Amino acid sequence: MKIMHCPVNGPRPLQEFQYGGELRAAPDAQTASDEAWAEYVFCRSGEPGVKREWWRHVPSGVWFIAERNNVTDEIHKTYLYGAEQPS
Amino acid sequence: MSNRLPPQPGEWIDRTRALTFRLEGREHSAFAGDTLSSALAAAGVRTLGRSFKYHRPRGVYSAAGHDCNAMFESDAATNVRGDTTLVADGMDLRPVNAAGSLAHDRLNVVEKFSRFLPVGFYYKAFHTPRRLFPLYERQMRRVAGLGHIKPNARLPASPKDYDFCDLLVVGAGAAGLSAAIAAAECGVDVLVVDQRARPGGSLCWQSGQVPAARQQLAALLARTEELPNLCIRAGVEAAGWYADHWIALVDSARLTKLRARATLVAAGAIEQPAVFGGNDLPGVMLASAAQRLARLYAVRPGQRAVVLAANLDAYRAALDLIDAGVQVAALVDLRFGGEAGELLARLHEHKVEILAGHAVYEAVAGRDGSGVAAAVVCPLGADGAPVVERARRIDCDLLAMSVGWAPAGAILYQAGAKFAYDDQVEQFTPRTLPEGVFAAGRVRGVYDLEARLADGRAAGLAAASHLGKRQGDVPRQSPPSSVPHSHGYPIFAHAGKKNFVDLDEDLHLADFKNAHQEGYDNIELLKRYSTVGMGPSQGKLANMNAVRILARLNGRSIDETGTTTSRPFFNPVSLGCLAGRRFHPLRRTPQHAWHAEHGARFVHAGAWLRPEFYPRQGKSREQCVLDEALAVRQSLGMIDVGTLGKLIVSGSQAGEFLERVYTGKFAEMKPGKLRYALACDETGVIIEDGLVARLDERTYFLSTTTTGSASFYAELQRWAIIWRLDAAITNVTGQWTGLNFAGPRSREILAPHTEVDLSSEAFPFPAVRRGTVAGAPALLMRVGFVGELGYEIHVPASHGMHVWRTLWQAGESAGIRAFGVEAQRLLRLEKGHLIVSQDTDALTTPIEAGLEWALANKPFFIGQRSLRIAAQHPPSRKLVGFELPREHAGPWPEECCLVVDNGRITGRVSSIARRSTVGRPIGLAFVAPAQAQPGATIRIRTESGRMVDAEIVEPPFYDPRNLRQS
Amino acid sequence: MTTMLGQSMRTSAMHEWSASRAASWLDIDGMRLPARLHASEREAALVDELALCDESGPRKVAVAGADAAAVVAAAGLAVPDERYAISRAFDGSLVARTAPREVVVQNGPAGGPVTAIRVAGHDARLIDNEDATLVVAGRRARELFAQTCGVDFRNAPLERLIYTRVAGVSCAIAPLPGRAAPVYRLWVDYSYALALWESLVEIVEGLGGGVVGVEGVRTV
Repeated sequence: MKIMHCPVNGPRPLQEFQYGGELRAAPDAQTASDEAWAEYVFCRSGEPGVKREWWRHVPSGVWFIAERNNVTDEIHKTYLYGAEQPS
Repeated sequence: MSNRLPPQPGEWIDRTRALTFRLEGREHSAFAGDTLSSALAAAGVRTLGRSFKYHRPRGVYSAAGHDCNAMFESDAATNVRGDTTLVADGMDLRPVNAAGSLAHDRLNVVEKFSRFLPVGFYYKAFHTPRRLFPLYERQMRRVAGLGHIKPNARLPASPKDYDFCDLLVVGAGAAGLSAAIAAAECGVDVLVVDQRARPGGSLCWQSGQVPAARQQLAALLARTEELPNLCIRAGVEAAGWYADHWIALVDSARLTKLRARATLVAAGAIEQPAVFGGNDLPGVMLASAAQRLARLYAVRPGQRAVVLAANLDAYRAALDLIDAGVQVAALVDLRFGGEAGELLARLHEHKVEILAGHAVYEAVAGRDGSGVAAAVVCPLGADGAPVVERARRIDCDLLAMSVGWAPAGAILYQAGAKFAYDDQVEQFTPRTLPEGVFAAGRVRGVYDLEARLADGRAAGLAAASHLGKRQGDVPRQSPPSSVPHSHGYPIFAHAGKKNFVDLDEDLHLADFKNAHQEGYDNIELLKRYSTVGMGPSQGKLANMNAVRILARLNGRSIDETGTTTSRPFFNPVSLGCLAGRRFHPLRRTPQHAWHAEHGARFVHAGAWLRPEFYPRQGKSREQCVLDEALAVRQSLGMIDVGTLGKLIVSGSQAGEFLERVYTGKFAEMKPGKLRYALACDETGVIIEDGLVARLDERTYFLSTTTTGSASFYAELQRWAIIWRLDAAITNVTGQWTGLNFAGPRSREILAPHTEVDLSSEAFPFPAVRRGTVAGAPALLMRVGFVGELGYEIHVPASHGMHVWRTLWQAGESAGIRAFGVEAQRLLRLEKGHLIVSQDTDALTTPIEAGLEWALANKPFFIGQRSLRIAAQHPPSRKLVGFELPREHAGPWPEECCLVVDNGRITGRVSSIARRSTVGRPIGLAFVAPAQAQPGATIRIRTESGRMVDAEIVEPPFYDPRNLRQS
Repeated sequence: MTTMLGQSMRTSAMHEWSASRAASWLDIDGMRLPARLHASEREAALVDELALCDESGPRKVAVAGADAAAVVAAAGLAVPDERYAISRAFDGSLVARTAPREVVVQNGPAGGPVTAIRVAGHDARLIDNEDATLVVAGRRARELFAQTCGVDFRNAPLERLIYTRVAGVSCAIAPLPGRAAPVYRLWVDYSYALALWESLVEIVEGLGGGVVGVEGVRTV
């Protein structure tokens, strides 16, 4: 079972966490074309590589960002949203 | 005949404790510490099991659980492994795979047809004609498989444990103990596990001709005693390695989920058999098995032995046999040069004939067929093949083989180590190890005792350095042995006999040749087609020879051939052990005990248990539900709504936050007011609904659905982080509980129990008030979900039972009824209120659900952009109300029955009530927009296939002008 | 919001379980709890070995907002700075820093400071915290956690909250120094408390421990 480092609660087994999807920038709802908006809400990238993902430590309710390589399943770093600029 | 030897130094049996057990009804004696295999061998029982396919007699082979010849079952357990199960007094066992008895197995006739049962036979033979397949299947299920499952067996729940250490050392032999001590001396917290009953590894049984071994073991164990941060657990197997050093440890009682920070594997090597004719007969065994029997269990493994050798270990084994009183007739060395030196001289002293450059070509069964009676020995030609013309027969009842070893590297493989074949030691050895994973000893091809101790020490220090417990250089680990300990191809095909490669699956050399001929020339494909290594012993004795055979058939190197993937578990683990104790975290409201006391029938709603309805003597479920609903309509009812999600949002921007989350307007709402609230996701699909009540300038109280609250709360938390508004969310779902006190008499009954002015003027619909109810702090909300005058009352959880009981007593004069979730569903259906996730699905937008009125005109809410796009296209369906004629008596549409229009599916029923307080069957359904006009008729296909016509009506079905709620 | 004290209007989530087993009762902050389930010698022995106790009576509040720490300090309580740190006062009351802008205060067994906290005029709000409090005491407490929780308690610092899962239920664990061994207080959602309690009782009894009353854990 993998260990994940919650920026607040420290290293915990993966079963204490829930996955919240990839961190993605939303286009401006006012100016985006219908096509661009549909692309945002319906399409996800399956591209292999390092992803920035939302994760949540369930017992404490802490949301954070994990940079994870979805090929090797290595978690490179975790930080609170906005607390660190991505590498 | 007893084969028990006089006491042996270091034996594992306790002669002061005699035990008895039964096999096939026959009683046997044993000592505490005996395994089933050793006790049977001591009693002179040669046939311990019957083979899987041909039902051939099989005996002790590895005495270490590396084969599965000896498998039994009892009333309490299936697949009891003879080599590794200690005898317990009173055990009553049967063999798993004998039709009849071990001595006389009816199904051994199968072998007579083996010519017609080539590899892959079942795949090829039993798929046509198709109609006969059930017959084939029944027959095959009867003969295939080992043992019988007892579905009714009750076993004690085996708990699972978590455990933690810095360094796990797998294997308590010379290398493992040396490594553990070195690491522990640096301050590392070390756990050593060994699958055997006692620590020591090969030092326990391979020590006969290594005088230093016994002292070494004693010294190592004494040192471990002195180190408080070093713990040894014997009888524990490292069954599998998972990410981040999570290791499954299995013992006879439980599974331990161990989290280590580093793993060191010193699991040793597994002795490998030679392949020749009849190499599976009882009496043919690995030399290590003979040594284990003699040294650990004081059992003489035979009377007269032939030893097949390809390394130094065989010479030691031969001398061990002599020490154990076995006459060694000959030592047959596959190597032309044989062995020189002191061991050879001692064998000469004992008049052992040494046949260098020879092979055993066949093991010949005795007349009774029960075991080996002679070895047929041939000189090897220059090409390495036996010269059959010069064969000679040597009588023996024990044929001990020591021709090679394979690393016990399963845990290393699983951790991601890369192995390569070392041509010098003729063994796979680990070449690259993942971070935090270490190896030492024979698993690395290091055989000499001094070298193993040094190797372990170096690996232990490297682990300590990795764990930050040590500075400075780490000594180099020992190089693998420079002389081979394994023969490169110990396979000598007897043309007329079966030369077994995999004893579990009864696979012999010809099967491999056939599979190869059919094109299975890749090791992974060959495994799947032939099933080599797929039996209970997972190829511990078969895989290496399979690789050697395939390499030769392909004319390629061992490295080019590769190995199959090693997956958990190293040995079979019982399902009970894996299941462990299970936890069922149920949520119950504070009023739960009252519902149970009043006979409620409970239903699961998400994690919650809720009263579905309260059964009454002699009344159907439907009648009870209707009666409960009628009580609400006519007088007074009370329902536990403690399961509703409850959130508090507070802060100077709380209103702004809610306007972004919900489709409606809340920022301008006055304190004391409340409003229906609808939330969508970014695609515009409905995900939640509930109420938003404004308590004061800065504070809102939200209720959400029972099943959606946990995920909705998590989503709100995330939006709060992203938007950075001054709005904090607190989940009070479990902190508060609630009840809905509903019916025309609710106001007069509630009034004496609260100081809140309940008059319509002071407390109109819909609104929220703070105060006390029955002395408890409370939020009172006038809501309309069930369509009557009513008060939803929320109180702190610990006050819930007191408030519930107080109001229940108060309502008794009004004929109060407790109502369950079913009556509530009926009451809200009569009012035309939808239930999110029952009357909506993963694609339902507010436009389809008839909730356009809830979409406020404002700059932003989640889903707004998508709904704007959706609004440009006509919807494909609409949620509408329908009713059936008052006198309709069936067939009945059910929820999810399809709405069909001219043979085309246009929608489905989402809610239906056969009986209602409005006197006719009503429901909600999705239909095509063209069918959605009130007065139109839709056809619903019932489960039976019969069609029912229903009329579209505009909901609500009851009190359309909300007169009852004022 | 005020509660009427002393009238046992509050009910513990474990009340039905305790009702048939308690030998004597007492009242803490309006909640009736078993004072004893066994004779005091037996309870003392269990508390040394392995004991479980329902101590849900003492009131808890969460104080949230930018001024949370200040208003709690104004009530005369020591508020730890570090997130998850816990301080314990002489009267047995606890103050836990649950988040940068949140403090949880729990009364001691004989009442305590909760009612003294005043939030009016500050950026702080009081939210009644109705989590059940389960106490695990005894030198074998870690064996109970070994079967139910993935946290390594050998290396867990005392006086620091741990948010984790025990027997599949989310909870906050407050390990505090005890007379002989650390004492663990589990704060668990009221609605999950009985399920967790039932799981823990089964394991505790299987390990040879037992349930004790509030009097039983007073001495730890």
